[in-house]
Amino acid sequence: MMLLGWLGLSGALVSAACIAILATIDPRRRGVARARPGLRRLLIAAIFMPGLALGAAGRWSDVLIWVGAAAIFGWAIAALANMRRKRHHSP
Amino acid sequence: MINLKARETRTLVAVHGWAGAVLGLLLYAVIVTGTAAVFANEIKLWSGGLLGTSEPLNQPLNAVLLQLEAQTPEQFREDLSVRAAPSGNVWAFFHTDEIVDGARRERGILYTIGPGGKILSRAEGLGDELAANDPFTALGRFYVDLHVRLHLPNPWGLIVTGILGLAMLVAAVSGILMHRHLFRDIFVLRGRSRLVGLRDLHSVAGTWTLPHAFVLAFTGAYLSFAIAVGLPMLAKIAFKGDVRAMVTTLNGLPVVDPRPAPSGNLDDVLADARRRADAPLLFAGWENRGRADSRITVFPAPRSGDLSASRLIYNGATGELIRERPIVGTEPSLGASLVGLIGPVHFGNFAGWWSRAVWFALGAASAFVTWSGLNLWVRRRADQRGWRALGRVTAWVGGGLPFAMAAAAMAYFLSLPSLTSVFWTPVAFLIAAALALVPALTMRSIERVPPLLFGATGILLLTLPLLRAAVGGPGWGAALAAGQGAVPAMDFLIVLGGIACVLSAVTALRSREPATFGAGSFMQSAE
Repeated sequence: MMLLGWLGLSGALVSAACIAILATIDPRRRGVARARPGLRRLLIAAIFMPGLALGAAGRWSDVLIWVGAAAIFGWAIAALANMRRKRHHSP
Repeated sequence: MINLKARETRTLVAVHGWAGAVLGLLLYAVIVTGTAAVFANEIKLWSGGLLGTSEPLNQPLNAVLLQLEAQTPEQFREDLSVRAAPSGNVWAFFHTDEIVDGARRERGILYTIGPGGKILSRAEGLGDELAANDPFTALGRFYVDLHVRLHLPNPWGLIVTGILGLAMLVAAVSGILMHRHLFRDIFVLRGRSRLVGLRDLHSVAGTWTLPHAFVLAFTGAYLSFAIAVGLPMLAKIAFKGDVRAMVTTLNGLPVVDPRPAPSGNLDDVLADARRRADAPLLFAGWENRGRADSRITVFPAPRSGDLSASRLIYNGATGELIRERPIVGTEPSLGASLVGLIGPVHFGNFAGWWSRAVWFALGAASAFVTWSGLNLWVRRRADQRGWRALGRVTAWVGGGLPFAMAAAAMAYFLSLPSLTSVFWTPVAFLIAAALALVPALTMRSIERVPPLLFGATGILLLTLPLLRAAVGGPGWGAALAAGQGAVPAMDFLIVLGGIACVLSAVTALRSREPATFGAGSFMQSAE
């Protein structure tokens, strides 16, 4: 099958970009009041779009790669976002 | 957000915590070894030093098998298994069934066939013992057996790992229910120096890897219990313990016709199977050779992009295809599709290096979740002597297991030239585990033990590619020429893993404050 794996990874990168924006504006992480709920909902929907598209195309191997890679990217983004935060907050 | 009463939450915290505290260390061992076992075939190829071809069953075999049959005693000619070995050679096992201690086992002669039909080795014995005594795959098998059955005897090892899979499911479900803000806190990490920070590390990693944890726990428990309990019970209840009768019935071919008949041409059968499957072939089992009811069952790899593959059943006398069948039953069904998914989804072998890399990363993340959960549990109880002891054991297993696995790999390479790797691989693992116990018992700051052991693991990993080359392992050029890209890829990944271990150890040892074990309250912010 053409592009096996590449499509799953590309989808995960698209999802990761949305996760990164979500992490950047996350009010809990920043310790601020809730804001822009519409944007957050849009980003959450966008995170799942690549997986839905791959599933609709019947690319099940790529769906599994997408869900796994997006989870790992999400974890890494959560860690990196907090490292940056700690650096900014440190004297 | 799930709102539960305080009492229900307390119960879930207890279930989550005790499931982890009682079985967490074994679960950690199963997950870490499973993470390595994702690359089991690549490890066997990389460490074995035998370069075959990338598709071993895509070569003429019939003539060489006829020649081997003539050298094989009559009593072992009834059945033949032909398998693509991880090294790229072919294992041909002429065998017959015999009852040993009440169990049906296969005894016969195993030939290893290299490229061009060259016979590389010959060994006689029981099939599972011959496989267990192969010095060239000892390292990969050691990791896989540790993951699958913790090296406990059958069926107890499988039952224990099945229970561990269920414990992981329990921990995942109770974790979701007891954390009120699981998804809202998905980006919140407050640093590891405080107890609440450690809780964040645990719950954030657990949240991100939740789908994977569910899938792995369920499929792992299913595989363990199906092999240890389900299939033997089915054979015992429905077929009076006759496994062969069960398989024949499940294949939908219960005809018994012992009349003599000529054997078909295996090359023609394999060529037809390859054309139909449009994928490399992994295994062919030939039953009742020389009889009219002779059958050849061919197991291909899944087609590129597919998650599972059908089996092809041929008439062993005429070489004609009888039927293509799914993993269960004779016709495609939803049940067969679901059962067919369990293997690839658990092993992560459905899309080559891509899926294996992702599954490896998810396995490492799951190991972190287990270990951080255990650390959290013992830190909250650091004022109690018994739990402090568990803290030391957790530090020992957490850092000592990867260290012992790397030491086992080192011993494997050192003992391979003398063909004693089957003995030295597990022995070195145990020696290294005992050595790792020394800092875990003697160092004042428990927190410094795992980074120290990770650093040692990294150093061992960095030496492995050099050691592999020093004991005569194939170079990158030879491996690539044989179509075995796994050799340079594994060298690269091992070095990368070694560097990551050393760097993380240096960072942790520099920045880590003295032990900050404090007695946290039993109910933290999760509640």
